[in-house]
Amino acid sequence: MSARDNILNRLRIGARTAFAHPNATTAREAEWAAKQPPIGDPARRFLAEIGKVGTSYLRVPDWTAVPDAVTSWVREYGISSVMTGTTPALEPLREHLRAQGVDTRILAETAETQREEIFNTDCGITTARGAIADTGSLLLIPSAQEPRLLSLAMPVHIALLERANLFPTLADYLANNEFRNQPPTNLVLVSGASRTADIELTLTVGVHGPKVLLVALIG
Amino acid sequence: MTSADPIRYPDKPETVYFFGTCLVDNFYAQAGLAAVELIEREGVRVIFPQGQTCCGQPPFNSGYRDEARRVARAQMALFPRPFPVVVPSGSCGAMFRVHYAELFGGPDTAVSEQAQAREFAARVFEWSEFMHHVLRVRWEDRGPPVRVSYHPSCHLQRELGVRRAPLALLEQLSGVTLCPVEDAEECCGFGGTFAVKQEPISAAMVDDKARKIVAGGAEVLVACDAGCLMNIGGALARQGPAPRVLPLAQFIKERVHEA
Amino acid sequence: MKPDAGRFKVDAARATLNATLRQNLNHTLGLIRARRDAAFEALTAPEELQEIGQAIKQESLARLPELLERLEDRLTARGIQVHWAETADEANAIVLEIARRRGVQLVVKGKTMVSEETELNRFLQRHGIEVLEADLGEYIVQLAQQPPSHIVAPAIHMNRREIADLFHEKLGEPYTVDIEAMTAMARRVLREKFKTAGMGVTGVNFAIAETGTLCLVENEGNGRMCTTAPPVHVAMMGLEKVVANLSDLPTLNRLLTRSATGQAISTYFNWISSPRRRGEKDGPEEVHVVILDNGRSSVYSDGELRDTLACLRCGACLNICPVYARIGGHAYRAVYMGPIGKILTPQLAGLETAGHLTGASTLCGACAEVCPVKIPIPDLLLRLRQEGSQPTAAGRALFGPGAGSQRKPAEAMLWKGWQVLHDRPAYYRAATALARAAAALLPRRAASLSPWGRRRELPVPARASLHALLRNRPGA
Ligand code: SF4
Repeated sequence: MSARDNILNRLRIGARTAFAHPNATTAREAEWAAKQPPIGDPARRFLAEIGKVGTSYLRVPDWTAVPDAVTSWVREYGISSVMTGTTPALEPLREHLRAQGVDTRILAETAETQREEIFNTDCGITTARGAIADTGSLLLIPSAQEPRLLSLAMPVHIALLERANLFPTLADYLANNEFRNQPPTNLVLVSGASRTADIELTLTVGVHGPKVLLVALIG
Repeated sequence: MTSADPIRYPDKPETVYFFGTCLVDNFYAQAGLAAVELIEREGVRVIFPQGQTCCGQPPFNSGYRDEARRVARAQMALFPRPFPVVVPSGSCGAMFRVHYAELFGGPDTAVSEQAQAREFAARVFEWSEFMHHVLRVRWEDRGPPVRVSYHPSCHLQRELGVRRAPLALLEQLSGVTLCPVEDAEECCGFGGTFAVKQEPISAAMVDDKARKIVAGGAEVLVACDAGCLMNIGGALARQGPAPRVLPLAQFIKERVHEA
Repeated sequence: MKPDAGRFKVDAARATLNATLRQNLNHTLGLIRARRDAAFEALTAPEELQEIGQAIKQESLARLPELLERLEDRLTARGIQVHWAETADEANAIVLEIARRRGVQLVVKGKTMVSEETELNRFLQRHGIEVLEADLGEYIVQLAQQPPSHIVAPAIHMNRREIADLFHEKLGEPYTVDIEAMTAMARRVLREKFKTAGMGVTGVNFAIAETGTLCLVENEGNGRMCTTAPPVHVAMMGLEKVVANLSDLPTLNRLLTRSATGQAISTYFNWISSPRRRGEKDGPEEVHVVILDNGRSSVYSDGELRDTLACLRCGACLNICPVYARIGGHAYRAVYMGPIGKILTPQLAGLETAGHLTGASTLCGACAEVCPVKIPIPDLLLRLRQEGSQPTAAGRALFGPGAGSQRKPAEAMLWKGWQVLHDRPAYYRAATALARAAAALLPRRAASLSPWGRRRELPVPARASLHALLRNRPGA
């Protein structure tokens, strides 16, 4: 017999001594959540939460205002090179940045072929699928157009988030069944710049991921 | 382990049993007497069965359940009538109230004995808890002003869930100023046989505890468990000038006693 | 590294006298406890949340075999390869086999306690594969050639000066005690490794059976790097990490990060449901999951001890434990230390080897109070002490509560004698009277010869017992 069968057999024998637990936790969770302080306006809550961990943001009325916002950050943080995916919606942004003389790269091949370029760019720019207001978390679903490293390998990460895609809580996002029906290769909730407290419990920002996280809230 | 349900306290009874505990019996007999007299002062009759010895916790905590069970059985037999059983210890109280059900809950115990253990457990109260919640005592402080720290013993606070009662009793004493202690809820390092078997760890714990108590500035340290007091008192005595250490009942008795 | 009763006594005693260690732990544990408490106090009805967490884990455990099969089914359907390992050796062999097939020379690792359990690093290195820990704390203890001393914060026992010395010596970097500068050094070193590593190894915090999703909780980004940059990702998980539903995640994660670091959520909450798909430009081409038993199924078979498997590995019980705070993690000589280690290690390694750890507790109960899934650690310690006091029977299992015994005949005799004295009132009264009299005669100085009296005064026996004081009462 295989290890698999041995293990499962032992567990099945063990499971007979199990006491049945009613599958009632979902209702209890909802009840508990209802007791918590109200989240209020999701956008305001989201911005308050990301502020607590030092994430900066800009609010812009619509996509046409995004290039200027990004350009202002490029100046502020002394960014000399940026990288985006192949997302068509970001073409105006790329054009704008190039026109401003910013070294604007595209992750168009693969991480393997573009490795050195990826690890030697100042700033990655991605869209966000949405965000979770109560924990201040960006909901990133990397894709063929926007690979994972864009939000991970560069010292600065700029995330473009539409206000309409804010969910009050993680439970609210999961309840829409999008993930359940079609789990993506990777989903990552990002709640700030990369950090550690492994030396004397002292918070230090910028370990293996970005040192700076910037959010443009659109709408 | 923590009793999830809030305890339902009975009305004031006419008669109670008193279980003195082996430590109080042998080291803090005066405190035991004080606890009894303070109950009697409220017009309640106290029965002290002379056959009592120990709740059985030492062997139980060491894994020797058969030995614990035999002693426990002998103890329960001494408290047959439905009177509350008052215990001047959070630890022994928890042994009765929380662990007798386990001790007599296994497949090798008779159903009747399981029921007996449950019935017994339900009428066990730690002394401060009983004074505060059942007798609802009101005291007049006759002593001089004094600074006091209270050590919340582990089983009292976590297994019996008694956190307020001892403080509520102390707060009634107008001359008493309570001194907070850093990390007050942390264990003193007694732990029964732990104090001897793991002496270096136990001593490190109680040294810290003693230091923090001294830093709190109290003149008197009170607690509801003789084990902790022996431990903390023993360490304080080695550290130099130290607060007086005594069981809560004895401290209160001294303060409210009519001269 | 193997637990050992004799060495535990020595190591623990030595640790209590190590002023630097005590200072380091006081500082860090104090901070971490305060953060955890603040995070729970910010919630309404935090205890209720703990109860829900407990219910979720118990429900998942009750359905464990079914959920594991479902998990395997979902993962496989999306191209993640599932391996089962009965023992630590089997798990290591599986990882090695994958590494060999892919020609891997360098492995980067995210934090995984399961790989500590199997001692994967040593094993791979013996087979010529370089292994580098990427979590900063793990990286520090790896450089120091030490095991982690805490399940969440591996280098919690070291202060910045000790780490500065280490970095200076091992990395040849200019000496600095600046934490940011030291973090930057580690970042530089590890960055290069991420680019070239052939395999990333990580743990799993939650494996969702419903969707076949592996969830990793971390702050640094090392876990994301390990699951993104190398062409192969191997996730190692204890079989108890599976949970039934996607909808269980918000509660479990709320509890985990608040208990571990006091955060409402970690910086990265990374969900993996498949290898790189066609057209995707990064992410591993192969994802493997190694599901490890290593004694867990035996723990599982006991209805009471099974609660041990609900553990989220948050470390809150270590942080609050007065014993852990005095001796640190290394004295346990076990992968899992502190309160959870005291119940888990003896069950995985057997009572004969590790049963002594169950005695290193005052049963104060602080751990059970903070445990996010309400594991009744003191009750399980009592249960294991009871198991350990039984004589070894023939034909007992290799792992689990029945494995071996720590019974000492002399101790057993002592408790028998204790019982005889205490279930006969006349014996008890005579013996205690004798003992009190003897103690009164004892010179005070003799007290310091007993373990009790080494650093404590002996209590003074009562002149008259309470029995005597109350002899003339009613009911006497
Ligand atoms: S036993 Fe509880 S408190 Fe300890 S690590 Fe596990 S989940 Fe956390």
